[in-house]
Parts: sequence; C-alpha cells; structure tokens
Amino acid sequence: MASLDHIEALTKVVLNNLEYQHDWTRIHQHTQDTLPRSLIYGLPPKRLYVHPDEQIDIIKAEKELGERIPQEPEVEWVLPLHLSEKWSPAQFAAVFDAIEAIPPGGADLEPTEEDGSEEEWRLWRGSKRGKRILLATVQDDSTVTYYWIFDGLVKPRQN
Amino acid sequence: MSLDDDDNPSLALPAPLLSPSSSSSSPLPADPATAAAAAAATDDLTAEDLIEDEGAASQDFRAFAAALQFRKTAGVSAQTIRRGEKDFEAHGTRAQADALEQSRAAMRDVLSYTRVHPAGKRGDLARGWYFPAWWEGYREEEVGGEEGGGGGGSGSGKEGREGEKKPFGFVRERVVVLEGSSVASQALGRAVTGQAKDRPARGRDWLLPEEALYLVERGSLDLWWPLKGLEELFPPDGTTEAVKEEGAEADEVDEYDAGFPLSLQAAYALLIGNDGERGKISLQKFQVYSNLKRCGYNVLRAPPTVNHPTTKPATTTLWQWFASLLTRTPHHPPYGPLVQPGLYRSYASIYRQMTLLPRHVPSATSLTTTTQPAMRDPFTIHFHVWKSAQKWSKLRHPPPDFQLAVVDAQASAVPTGGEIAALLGATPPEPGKPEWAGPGRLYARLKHGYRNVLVAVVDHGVINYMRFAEGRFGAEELYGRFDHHRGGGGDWVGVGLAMIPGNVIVDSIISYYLLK
Amino acid sequence: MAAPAERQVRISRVAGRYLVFDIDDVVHIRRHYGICAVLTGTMPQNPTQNLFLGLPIELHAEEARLLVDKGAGYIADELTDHLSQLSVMDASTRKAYLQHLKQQRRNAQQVFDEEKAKVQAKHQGKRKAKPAAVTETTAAVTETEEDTSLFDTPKPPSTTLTTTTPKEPSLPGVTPTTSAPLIPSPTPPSPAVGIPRPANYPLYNYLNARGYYTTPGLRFGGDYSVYPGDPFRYHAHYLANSYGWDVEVAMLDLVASGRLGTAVKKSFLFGAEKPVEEGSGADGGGEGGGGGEVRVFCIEWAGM
Repeated sequence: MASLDHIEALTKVVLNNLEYQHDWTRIHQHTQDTLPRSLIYGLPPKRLYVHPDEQIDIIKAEKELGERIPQEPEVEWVLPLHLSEKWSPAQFAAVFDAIEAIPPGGADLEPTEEDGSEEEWRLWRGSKRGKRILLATVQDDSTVTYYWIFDGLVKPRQN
Repeated sequence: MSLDDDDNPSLALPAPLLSPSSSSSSPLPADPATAAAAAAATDDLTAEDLIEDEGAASQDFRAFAAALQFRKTAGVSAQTIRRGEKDFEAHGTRAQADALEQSRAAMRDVLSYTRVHPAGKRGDLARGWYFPAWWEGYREEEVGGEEGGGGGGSGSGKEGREGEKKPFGFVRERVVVLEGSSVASQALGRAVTGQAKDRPARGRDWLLPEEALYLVERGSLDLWWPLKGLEELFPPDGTTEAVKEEGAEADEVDEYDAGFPLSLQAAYALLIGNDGERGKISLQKFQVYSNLKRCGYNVLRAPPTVNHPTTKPATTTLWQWFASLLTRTPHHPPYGPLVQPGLYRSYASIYRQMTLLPRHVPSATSLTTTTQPAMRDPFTIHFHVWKSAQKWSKLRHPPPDFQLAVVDAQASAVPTGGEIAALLGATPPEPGKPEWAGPGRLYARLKHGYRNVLVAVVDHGVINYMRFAEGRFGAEELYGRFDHHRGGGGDWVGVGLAMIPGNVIVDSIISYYLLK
Repeated sequence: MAAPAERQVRISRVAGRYLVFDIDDVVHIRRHYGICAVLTGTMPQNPTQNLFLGLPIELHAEEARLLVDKGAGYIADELTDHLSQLSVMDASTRKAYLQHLKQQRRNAQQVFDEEKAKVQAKHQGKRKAKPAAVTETTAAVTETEEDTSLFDTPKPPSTTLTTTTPKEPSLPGVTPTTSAPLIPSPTPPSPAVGIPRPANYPLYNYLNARGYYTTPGLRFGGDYSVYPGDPFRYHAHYLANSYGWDVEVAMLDLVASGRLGTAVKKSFLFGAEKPVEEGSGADGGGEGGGGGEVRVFCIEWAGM
C-alpha cells in the first residue's frame, strides 16, 4: 500500500474537504492498532443516511404523533482513499471488524427517553444501526467523491 | 430492432423489444396480431424496466396464457398483454402472493405448449433429416468460393447462371437435409450445386446447425433421425416423392420405418457444440443468431476472412505518401514556444505548428497495414447481418448491413485496442450516408465512424449488442473553417495565441484526447 | 424453500452449458430452489418477437451445482446420452417412444378438432342468431360433422372426426420438447456426471440461501442482478460481483459500479469467501460450499 506520507496527505485532503466544502463539525482523526490506516469521524450538517426500513418506521411514528420528526445528523465514519488504490475484500473486512457501528461520541448525541422504552424508529440510530463507512475517494486534482460502503446486505434506498 | 447508430443510444438496447413488428418484411410469416400485442405490452414501461427486464426472467406470462398444450395462445391478440407493476420487496400481502402465483401459472401454461406440425399433404410439412457426416469430406474453395467451379459443368445449369459467384456455403457444416420446400428455405439452407446426377438428394437444401435448430425451435421444422441412408431416402433419380407417399399412406409401422422425429432437447444435443466443432454451433452464437432472426434480420455466417488490403497494395503506398505530404508536421526546435512568434494571417498555419502528436486519419487502407494484428477468436467476425428487405435472397444479396462478433461475457474481457483494430480492419469502410456531408452533420459523422463492427456479448442467454466504430476525428479538421469565417480579422488573435505558450499546450492536449 | 425430495431435475449439459428443457422442472426449481435462470428459446407460438422467450432455460454453472449439491438434480451429458440411445436403440424403447409420439399426435388432433368445432359452433350460432355461449360443448359435438364442408380442411371429405377410427390418414406431426420418453432418467438418480465448483459459487450460494433470486448481470455490468424474491414480482436490489478474498479491486471499479447501481436504484454488492484457516476446523458457516465464511459489502452513492 501507499507510503505513510501519502496516506497522511490523503487524510488531510479529506479532512479539509469535509470541513470546508461539506461543513462537517466535530471532525476527528481516528487511529487504532487494528486499522490499516487512520479513519475520520465527524458530524455532517444534515442527516446523510436513512435506511429504507428506518424510513418506514419514521413515517409510522409521524403518523401516530401527527407531526414531523426532525432528523438530526449522525456521526459518521470516513475512510480516506486514493482513486488509484486497490482494495481486497479482506482489507474492507478488516476495517469493518475493527470498528463499532457508532463512532466515538456518536451515542452521546442521541437523546434517550427517560422511561427507557425506545421507539422503533429511534433504534436505527442505536442498536439497529449497521456498520457503514463513507469511502472518501480522492483524485489527483483533489476532487473527493463520497460513497457509502455497508457491511453485509443492505438494501438500496428508493429515492 | 435497430442496430443503427442513428438512434438514441440509450434506447439502442431495448429497441429490439419495442419494435418486434417494425421489420414488416420479415422473411418468415409473422403473426401480426401477436406482434402488435407484444409491442403494446411495452407501451407503459420505463427504460429502466426494459433494461432490467429484457432478461427473460421477469416476463409476465399472465395475460399470455390460456393455452392448452397444443393450442396456440388463443385470444392473446384480443387481450392487452400487460406487465404488472413490480414491487420493491415482499410485504406479505395476499395480493402480492396471488399475482406471483398467476405469473408462475401463466408461464407454465404458455411453456407447456408442444410444437405441432399441422397434418395435410406431406409436402406442407418441413421435415429435416439429420445426416451429420454427409458433407464431412467436402472441400470448398476458401475465399469468394465459387461453388461448383470444380465439378461444375454438369449440374450447375439447373441451379442458376453458370459460373456466377455465390457466397461461401459452409457446405461441410451442413448437417440437416430439408425434405420438401417451405417458406423457410427461401432464406435458409443451401443446395450444393455441381453434384453429379447420380448423387442422392441432389438439389436439396441443406441446413446449417443454427438454421435447423432455429426452425425446430420456432415450430417450422420437424427434425428426424434417419434409420435409412440418404441414398434410400432421397434416391439419386430424384423420385423422392416415393418417400412422401409412403409416409402419408402407410400405417403406423411404416410411417416410422425410415426414421422418427426428435425432440427439441435432442436437437440441442446434436446441433449445439463447442466453437470449431464441425456441424455444430456454440450455444452463445446460436442465441445471438436466433435473437436476430426473431427480429427479422437476415443472418449468414461470415465467410472465411478476406483480407481487404490485398486488392490494391500499390495505391496504398502512393496514397500514404501523398497524405504524408499534406499532413507533414513542421520541424520543432527542442525548446522555445511551440508556435513561433510572428505575424500570422491564418489560423491554419498556427494550428499546423501545434500539431505535435500524429493523428489517425481513417482511409480505405489505414487499418490494414502489416503492423495490424490479425483477428483472433473470440473477436472475429462471425455473422453478417442484413436488415430485412424484399430483394434479399440467400444467394444474392448486397454487402451486409452489419458485421458481428459474438463473445461470451464470462470468458472474455473488454477487447483490447489491437483486437478492436483487427476487427475493424476486417470490415469494409462504411463512412455513412452521403447526405451527412458538410459542417452541419459533423457529430453524426463522428458518431458513426469510418468503419464499424458489432459485438454481441452473451451472458447465459442475455445478449447485449455493442457497436465499435473507427474514430474519424482526424478527418474532421475544424481549423480549416476558421479562416473562411473571419477574413483578415484573425491575425491578432493568432499572435496572441503564440505569445501564451501555456494556452497552446492545453490546446494540444485536448486535441490529443479528441484524436484518441 | 423446503422441497419435495423426490423430484430429480434433469440438467442438460450441452457443450459446457447447462440447460433445462422440462417445464415442470423449470417451475419446480423456480418455486423450491429460487432459481429462475433465463428463458432462451424461440417461443413457437410467437416466433417473431424477443419479449417473451421459451424453453430451454440456461442455468449458471453455480445454479446447476447448487441443485446437484442439494440432491435436487443431476447433470446429464446430453450428446452422449442421445447418441448412445439413438444409435443403438432396442426395439422396446423405440416402440414405447413411437407409441408416445403417436399418442401425442392423437391428442393434438383432438384439440384441433375441438377448436374447430367451437369455431363452427360459434359461426352457426351467429347464423341462427343464437347466443354463442349456449352449451358450447354439446353444440360442438352435434354440429361438427354436418358443418365440416363449410370450412377448408386439408383432410379428405370422407374423414370423420372421431379419434376411434382405426385408420387415421394424417395426424399432425409433433416435436416433443424433451427426450424424456426416449431417454429414461437414471435410476437411482446419481450424479454420474460431476460439475466443478465455479469460482462464484460461494457468493451465489450465500444469496440463494437468503431467498434472493439472481439473473445474469450483464445489463448492469456485474456477475448477477439480485432480486429480493421472484423477479416476476420484484425489482432487483443489487448488482453483484464475486471476487477472491485477497483479490485487489481497483477503487475506480467500485466507484463506477456504485455510481451505475445508484443510477438504476440498486446497490452494488460485492462479496468474497474467506478461506478456511488451517486448523480452525471447517465448521463456520459453510454456506459457501467450501466451508469458508462469505462476507458481502454494499456500495451506494452517498449523495454528497
């Protein structure tokens, strides 16, 4: 794989891109022994991903409540990559195996109900959240494209 | 189906589905009612549906059903064949389950049909006899084969104008002899001329494996396994009527005395083989063949490769020399501006200095130089394809409308530049319609290319047609027109360009990409 | 997915491809094994269109292998089977086959006759200003014979329409779809012909075990299109590729496939089988058929 310098530069590009082009906040670089390279996590300005089944639960809940449920953003994982890289399934598996579904500090943002009983739609932001990472693919002209990669079978969104 | 490039490219693939009835002069009798119904079925489909559903997996047979085993789909023409709206996923409803059961039941009904050949006079029934080894030892002249040229004199008189050049016949590959004539034999099969009078089955049409299997599959041919030799079935004197009479009048035992009918499964077993097996055709090629035939195209195997450049080697060099004079690039110093500072009165002189990279100018001979690699399987021309036309016949036809290679999606990758160049090199120049001349139709010309070749990619029965064309950007010099437009006003712009070397470099990179 | 174990699907291997000709087999594997495959043949009822195709269906090698592994089918080398049966056919087999054909032809003739009778009854009904729907069957029986001459029939006028006539001048010819009457299925059905394990088998098996149906993925540039159920009812959810565990995939390919998938409302799925580690015991998962765990990943455009 690429040299350390290169990966550091890559990470920097993505950090800057997230902060200044996409207005992310609480951005951190995350280093871990079991990870092949540093990940980034942070908070996007608006909700980035809603699972199709979560969407259904939200709509149900909104019907019951009779009002819209605001969708607060969630803290997301980001993996910086260069477009010319090649990754094997084994490498992606290693990254997923090394992380929790919710990035550090992500759970603190979630308000918990006092009575402890959580509504169905809220579980998607907690126990029902699957592992997902934003692949931040950097090109030579420093364009960054973002793609979700999910661990396991995750059906597509229908919008 | 349209294989033309004039169409919207995004619709190029679904097109065959949309217009099964558009080839009105299909060589085989079409059922207009059902064709119209099939066309109607596609009315309310999105492009995505079409792309996704062209794979036969999701055909909706529900409205197509109501067929007993031997009855053609009665009443189909009266109904509108509609594909039900598909869902995103199962939601456990009764309606959804019922719809699925209906679809499955309809598929079963429709596909339970057994091919029936209406009774009547025996002559109406197209019967084919499988004689795989009859022509095994036949030798056919390879290029531009003139059948009967060798043994010609005696037999060719009846068959047509003597000495007339006929398409290569693939005689060795022909394994099914057609008894009696049928509509099918107008476009399919081939009589082997030049046979001595005492040969059996003289003058009878022989089918290639794909032709025979296609006819069996569409219910137009009864393929029989012979229990007697060809000499007995079709005696040399030509009184083959005896066989027919016998078959029609005799009782059960005699009817199957000479042989018996084979199933569709048996036809596949006998006629489908590996590439290069004599008397067989690969499954992928057969699937493409029948797909095109169903669309109404005329399809023939491409004759063994003819090398186009052999025709006029002398002019090649002369022309190339002449062309090199015109396009000779000026000498550039190792450093300094690309365009020498100075006073320029025309764009052409500036652009000529900026031409750094050689560009490909297509010509009748440009792709067939000695450096060109030869075609290698699977990227070779396998079929010649003609749009259906009244005047087309199996022996007399114009140059093909399309040249087509068949490749397997799993066993091959995207062709290399060399493979495509070799394919294109084997096709004649086809620069497009004459009315495309002039600046207005520039993009039509560029899109069409100078030569083109079709590649049918087959993935387990699903076929994608792709068109590769020889780029002709090199033949479309844009700057030649600039000087005409602006008279004398252009010179300061030219100087300006020369002064900014960066501009020039960017410019030439862009041209490079375009030229590629 | 529980299937009656008794039915053995004949998978015809012809020149290295896998075909199924029997409509009952086709329906069976579609219902019980989640295999729809691709109908490839010209439909004799409508031979000038490409929208609805007919038998045979062509299977992926991995689909054929799955059926064999599950004891639901066997591979038959069709050329060998046919040639050996056709060239040295004993009298009894031949007689049985021809009897079968004859019966088929009689059945066909009967259907034709009934059809014709119906048409005639309808015409007659119109002529007499009678509602056509009234007792169609009885009308058919009673009116066929007297009306025969009204219609062009290829048969000699002397022909009667009853099938009991000992001498039948010309029955319609019939091309059976399968060779079943000619080539008996092997008993006991043992997979005499083996089938190598295709490279994509682990991923295919993983998807099939979860109720997904697959079709060839050529239209979207992948190995499979993956449906959350029978493609008769559902749109595909994924376009899928199978890779080796340690095969390095260019990011450009992942991005391109992800973008393509998103454009057609699908997710790009790729998966690989993790090789079984030495000494760890091959007990984990095992659904890949090779004992290894199958991992899959899905890629979608993030919209940012």
